[in-house]
Amino acid sequence: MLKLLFRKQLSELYKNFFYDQKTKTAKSKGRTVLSFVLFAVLMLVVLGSMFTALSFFIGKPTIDAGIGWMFFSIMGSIAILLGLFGSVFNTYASLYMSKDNELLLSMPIPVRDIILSRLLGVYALGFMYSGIVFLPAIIVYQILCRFSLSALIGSLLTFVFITLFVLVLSCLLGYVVARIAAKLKNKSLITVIISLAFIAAYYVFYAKAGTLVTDLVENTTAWGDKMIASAYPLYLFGRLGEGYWPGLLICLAAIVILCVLVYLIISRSFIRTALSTGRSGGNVYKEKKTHVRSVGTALLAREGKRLTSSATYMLNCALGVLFIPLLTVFIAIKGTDILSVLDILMEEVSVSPVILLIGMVIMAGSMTMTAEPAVSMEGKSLWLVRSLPVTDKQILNAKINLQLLLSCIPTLLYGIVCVVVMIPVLHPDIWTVLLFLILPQLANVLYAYVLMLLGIRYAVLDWSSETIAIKNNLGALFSIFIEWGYGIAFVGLAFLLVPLIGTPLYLLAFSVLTAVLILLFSSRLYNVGIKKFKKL
Amino acid sequence: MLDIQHLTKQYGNTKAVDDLSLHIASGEIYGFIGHNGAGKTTTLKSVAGILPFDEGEITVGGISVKQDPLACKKQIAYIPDNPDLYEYMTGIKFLNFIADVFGVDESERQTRISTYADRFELTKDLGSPIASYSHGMRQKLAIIAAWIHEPRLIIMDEPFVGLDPKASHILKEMMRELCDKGGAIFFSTHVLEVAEKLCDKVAIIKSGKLIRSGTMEEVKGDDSLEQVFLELEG
Repeated sequence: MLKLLFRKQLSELYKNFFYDQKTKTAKSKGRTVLSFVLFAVLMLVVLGSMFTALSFFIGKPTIDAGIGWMFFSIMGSIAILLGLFGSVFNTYASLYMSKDNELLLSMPIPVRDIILSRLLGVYALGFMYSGIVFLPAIIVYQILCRFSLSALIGSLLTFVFITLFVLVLSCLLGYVVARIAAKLKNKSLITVIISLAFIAAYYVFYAKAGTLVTDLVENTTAWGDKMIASAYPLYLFGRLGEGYWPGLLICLAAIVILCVLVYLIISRSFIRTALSTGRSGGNVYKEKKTHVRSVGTALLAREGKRLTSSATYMLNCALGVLFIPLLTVFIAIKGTDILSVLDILMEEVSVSPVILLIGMVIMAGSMTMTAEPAVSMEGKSLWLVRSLPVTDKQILNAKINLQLLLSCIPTLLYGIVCVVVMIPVLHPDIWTVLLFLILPQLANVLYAYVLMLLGIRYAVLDWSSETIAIKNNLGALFSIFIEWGYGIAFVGLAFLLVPLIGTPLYLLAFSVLTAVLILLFSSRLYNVGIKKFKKL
Repeated sequence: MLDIQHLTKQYGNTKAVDDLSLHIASGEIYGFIGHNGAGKTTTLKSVAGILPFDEGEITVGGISVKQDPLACKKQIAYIPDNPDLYEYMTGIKFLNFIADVFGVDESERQTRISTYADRFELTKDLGSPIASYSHGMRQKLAIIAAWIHEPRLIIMDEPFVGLDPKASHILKEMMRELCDKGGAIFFSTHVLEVAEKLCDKVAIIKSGKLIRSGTMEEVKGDDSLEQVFLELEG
């Protein structure tokens, strides 16, 4: 039974690798392998290489100083953080909010098996994210130590413990969110607040990590002594990576106890929490004055309501709404100092810091991507909007408009603040200022069309958990990389072209190019895209 | 009101609906019966403009579903067999959304919402999220949403499933009232007793083909509808 449920869970998680949504047929083996390879390359090349470099940076001084355990302690901690970051948002949704919970519970399936199969999905994501950090660390350690079998076995076991620890922490947080949400009317709000607090803590740690790592590399032995004295479990954990077997037994016992405890907590409340309808007694409706809306506004409001009703949707696709204003505040406070320094530094390459400011907001734009999963989020209720007297174009435009609303307003505020800050420092001409405000908005429009096309191409309508529609699909992955690619191309080409043609002309050329791309992509959306949407 | 001429819809090589023709006049309640997989839902979805069809023509009030789907949809309301509504909305928000799309003005919508919600005893639950509704409550909400713009034609797929006896009775009353005002109802059902008592006309579909249609008397004669249906299906 468990095997059967595992297979169901995995096939759901990796459905897009095996199943073609467009033709509703199974993908050929070749295409499946290609999809997996593409995914692996994206994960390994982009993230894996970053953590390999970090592993060398930390590994060299620690191993040279004879405290290799510290290397594993640090990399292990980072792996736990990243693994937790990757899987925590899914736990609540996949464990308690899956649409097929009732169906499975109605069948002669032990509740234990349902819980374990759900946890597999959470484990798989945690495994993937932790692995990106820790597997390169294992390889780097072996290179620096010139191979040690006991360390290899020890570090692999450490990795297993890390993944289990990530699972335990994700489950605990998911459980807490579920318990709080069951008592509250606005479930998504509390989930967002808790998750944002978590993200904030993560970013604070991340911001301080650079200084911490440098200090650590410079004062390795002192840090090692400190760690043994005040964080003995972390020391023990690191020793296991080196192949210290008493450490193995202690870690094994600790992780087993934690897993059992968390399992007991979840299993005792699973049915009650998973089947909670959220119906609040005594919430009697009282007639209120209604506001008549136009069709376009009604459809846009529907999209907005869809977004705000789902914590998973907001956290995965609308973080830019929060992040770009934070970036704006940062620029308002520190912008003058940063731009003054950057202006001097970049003078050598004859590129204005203006380029970096635009590149930054374009890349931050990838944090707002509501349009991509918007089609999938219609799910089984797609029939409803189809039965109404609205065109497919109106339906898609509402999704695009929400994306634009969420991305253009923060970007415009960012632009205005940047202009105010940059004028006394960089003395840009009027054309640079104008294009500084226009280009990111054009990028937002282009991104909205690209997201909509991806959303239609990779639409998943028969999902049982929102996470499948929102993030566990190729469309979501491509969305992030496309916006990043555009931002990197913009900055990268600037280093080649700005010294030759100057900043205003470069911005104008890129704006024209973006405008042309907008025309091409919008034309494709309203022709090919709409036809595909009709067939869903 | 509704004219279906030679409707054909294929899924791959299988003909789900095969050369089906029907005419439903204003004031008629038209029942559509057939075994599971006979092609009822496909026909209803084609009429509602949800499903594109391969051959034939469907007109609502003289307007072609193919040529001008929006004009047709403005006259229609559709209720599927298992209405997956927007769970993230409250009942009232959902009704207001539907009313906005159909351009129902403020006073009319408030009167209709209040009237129908009171009839179905759903008023106090309108402020709750649809996710918390039972199947029956969702069905009632879908019915209110269908009636909110006073459509000329209502298409329903198994509308009585999930409704309690009182709600079923109210729905039957509402169906008759709509037809008395010149509207028409086209609905599928497996409950033959309901069809026999409620419908002015009935059509029986088997393997995508219409095998009998007409007034209740023409279809069943002196037998019961159940007997006729079983004989034809056999």
